[in-house]
Amino acid sequence: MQINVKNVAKDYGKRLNAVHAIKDISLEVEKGEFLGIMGPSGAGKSTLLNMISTNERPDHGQIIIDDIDMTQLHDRELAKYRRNKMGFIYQSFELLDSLNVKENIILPLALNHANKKFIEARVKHLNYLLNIEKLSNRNVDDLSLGQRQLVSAARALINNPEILFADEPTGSLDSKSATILLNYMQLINQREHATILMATHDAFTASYCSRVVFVKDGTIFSEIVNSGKREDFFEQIINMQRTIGGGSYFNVSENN
Amino acid sequence: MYLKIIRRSLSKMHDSYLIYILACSFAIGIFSILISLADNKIMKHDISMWRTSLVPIVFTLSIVFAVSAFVYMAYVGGFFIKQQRHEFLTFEKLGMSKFTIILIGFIQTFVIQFVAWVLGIIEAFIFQKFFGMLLLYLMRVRIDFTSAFNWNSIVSLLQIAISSMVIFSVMNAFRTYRIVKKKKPNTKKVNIWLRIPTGTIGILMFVSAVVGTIGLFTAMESTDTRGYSNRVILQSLYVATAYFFGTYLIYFGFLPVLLTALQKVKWISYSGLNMFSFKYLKERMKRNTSVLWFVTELSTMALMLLTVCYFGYRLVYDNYHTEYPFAMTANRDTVNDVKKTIDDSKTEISREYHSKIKIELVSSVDETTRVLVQRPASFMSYSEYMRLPKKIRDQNPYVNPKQFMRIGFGNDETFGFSNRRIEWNVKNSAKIVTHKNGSSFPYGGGMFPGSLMVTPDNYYNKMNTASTDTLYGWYFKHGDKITKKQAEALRKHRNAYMIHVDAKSSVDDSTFTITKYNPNNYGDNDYIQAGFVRQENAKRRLHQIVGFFIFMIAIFSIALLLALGSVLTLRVLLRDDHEWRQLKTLKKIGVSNQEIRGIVRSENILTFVIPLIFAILQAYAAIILINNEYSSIIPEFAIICLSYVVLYSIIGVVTYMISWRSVKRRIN
Repeated sequence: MQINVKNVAKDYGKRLNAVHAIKDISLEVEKGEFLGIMGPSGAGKSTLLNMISTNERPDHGQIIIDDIDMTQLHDRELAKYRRNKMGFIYQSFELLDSLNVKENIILPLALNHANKKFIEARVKHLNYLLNIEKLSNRNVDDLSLGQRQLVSAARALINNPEILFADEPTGSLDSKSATILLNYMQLINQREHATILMATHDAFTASYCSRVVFVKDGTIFSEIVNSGKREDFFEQIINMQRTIGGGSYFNVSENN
Repeated sequence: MYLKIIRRSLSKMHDSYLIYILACSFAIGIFSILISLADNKIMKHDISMWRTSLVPIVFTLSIVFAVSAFVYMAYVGGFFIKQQRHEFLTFEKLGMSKFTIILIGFIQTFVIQFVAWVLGIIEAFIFQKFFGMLLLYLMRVRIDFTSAFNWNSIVSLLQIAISSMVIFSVMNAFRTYRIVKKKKPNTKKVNIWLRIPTGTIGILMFVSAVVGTIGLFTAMESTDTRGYSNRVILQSLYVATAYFFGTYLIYFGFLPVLLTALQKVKWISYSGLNMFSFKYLKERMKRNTSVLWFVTELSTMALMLLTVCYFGYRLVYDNYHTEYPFAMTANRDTVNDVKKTIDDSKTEISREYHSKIKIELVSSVDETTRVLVQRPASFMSYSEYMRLPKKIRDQNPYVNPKQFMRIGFGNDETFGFSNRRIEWNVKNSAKIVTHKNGSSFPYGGGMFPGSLMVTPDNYYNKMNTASTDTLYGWYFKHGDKITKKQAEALRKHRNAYMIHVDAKSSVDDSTFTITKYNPNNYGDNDYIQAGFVRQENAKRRLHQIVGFFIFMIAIFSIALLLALGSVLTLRVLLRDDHEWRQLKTLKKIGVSNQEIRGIVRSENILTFVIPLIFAILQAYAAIILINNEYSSIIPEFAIICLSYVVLYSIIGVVTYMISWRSVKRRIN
């Protein structure tokens, strides 16, 4: 087991205005697993993902990754761990608009003082893979939302992370770009045995996962395991979405 | 709802507003104190110089202070409106009318100004006594200072407060109007190809100014008494201009180009956070070019002002000591009256001395007009000179029994004229040539008709002149105790006699006559001999003037430096939304707090250290232009620069702490 989430909880706001975003969730993720986190808006998916990815500290509970309790690490150690082992694809891209596309992509490697030749080789490889070679010298402001998400993905993948966190990675992508990205994520999951945790409310995107947990009102409602056949898994996800929210809470793709 | 928006915006930027309010209230407080001091009844009643000459100066300085504070408050007040640009445009998108948004801008500014004025006036009420006591202490006036704000001062302060609150609010309302009207920010992107040549020109100008400054050292060291040559003046003008514009071009072109170059060098930029921090700092620098330049130049001015004033103060003080190395003096005609007054006043005499002098006509070159003039001059033998108290002789260069020494005005060593060649054609005596120059008249400048020449004894004895005089001097224990009434009575002896020169083509043919002083019959060729000189009068005036100016200059300089420091602080603190977002993103992709703190630190260093270095360099160059014997001012200049560095460093450290605090709050 690579990730062990033990009884974590998180509140936002103070006293009377407090919102219980996550209420005592426990979760285990094996190494090399592709885990989907689904749930209606406001259910706590992103909060859970942010806590596991150490972007936010839980109010109580433990998050143990590779036998290290992340909640006990100091800021500097946490940053080092994240930089070396983790990759992040955010819903809001989180690109630095003062840097161009190439600079944004290579930033995690530069932060690790990686070899210049290695940096150049990696960026070339990812540009080719995600078909963003032509964007290399462009400013982030000049990109479409879909292009930004691909750049964000390239940045997350450049240092071959052991754990990849993705928050709605396909939310801004057209179906072709989404498929390319998801296929690549599946590839690194299978070949490199990278663990992937992905929050989404899109059933098609979730169908790439090996397991999906459903979050509702800050707690885990249920989970489904992919038996190996994607079409069946997709059906199961849609059924679970209907069970949770009567079908109206989720973006169920009609084409799939 | 609108009040809620205003309250939220005030609390969101409370750190920045607090700094602005404190700086404004300090300026308002000082201005109010100056106004109240000018009108203070006790000062007017007990200090005659205050009444006659210092009140107009205080009044003028208050106006200068008010204008400077007005410019500061108006300029810096605009930062906050600019900061809310995005918010105002969102309000408009959400359907809020332009008028309402403008009203929000107006009310926000009015609230801030109101708080600043209330605090400023309270400060003035609290600290008036302290400042008044400090002023009197510096002026060495022993009276009790009583705080007082008369009705006129309060009314005029309130009028100014209300007008300025309305004016600044209207100005910011107008700024808000321009934001909602234009919608797009007025940012013209300057191409790097423009920055490269301008940056190069900037560096060339700055380096040439430094070289020019060094050249000026040499030029001025060899400057003779005729003053600066046209070449030196032109060179000085070039140096000043090159520093002034060179600095701007360095900020505008060189530093951004340097950061761009660093960012292009992969082995530097592909390491750690360099890639981001070079770009981030470059963007911040581009946005703050004018502010950094403005601060640099005003800091230069403040440093120059402080140094020149200190230098002036030292000059006045040294001159005073040189000119008054005694307590009281008189001549043969007035000695009895003066001695009687001293005895009557029960002043305790600690030492008495006297010297015989001869008066004769001399022909010498006038240093100002460079023409030969005939004037009466005094002569004192070496033996007589050596009998004078050592304290008096110490002010002049050493002289041996065979040497001549001229004691005259404008020979102060500070001006570097101590080795000037002097040639005197003395009537019916041998010509005197000497390089010895002193400036301390043993009995005060007024007691000698013209300059004084200390001569070897045999020269003095050979001099055949009909006019002689004896000068008397006294030192007192615990100062003189002459009353105002006795001083008034002595005034009739102020001018003892007049020497009228009847000049002919040759000095040997010229004659002079001594007559009683007559103010109605006084021409160009008449020289007045004072009857007595009293140190106490000059001492009192000197202390009052020096104390007053130290007070004013200290207040002005501190206010100026604080204002400039706060401008820099606010520029560092006020980040745009996208600048905040970037720091937040860094955190999200695995950059530690320490590394982000490093960026904040670099930004602070760039903002505070570069203007500091440029300002010191420029001020130093400017100071040495004023003082040709440049080495003599280095210790004072170093102390002033050190205080400036300490003050700015404190502001810089506080800014860094506040800045990091607000960044930390936002990114975590």
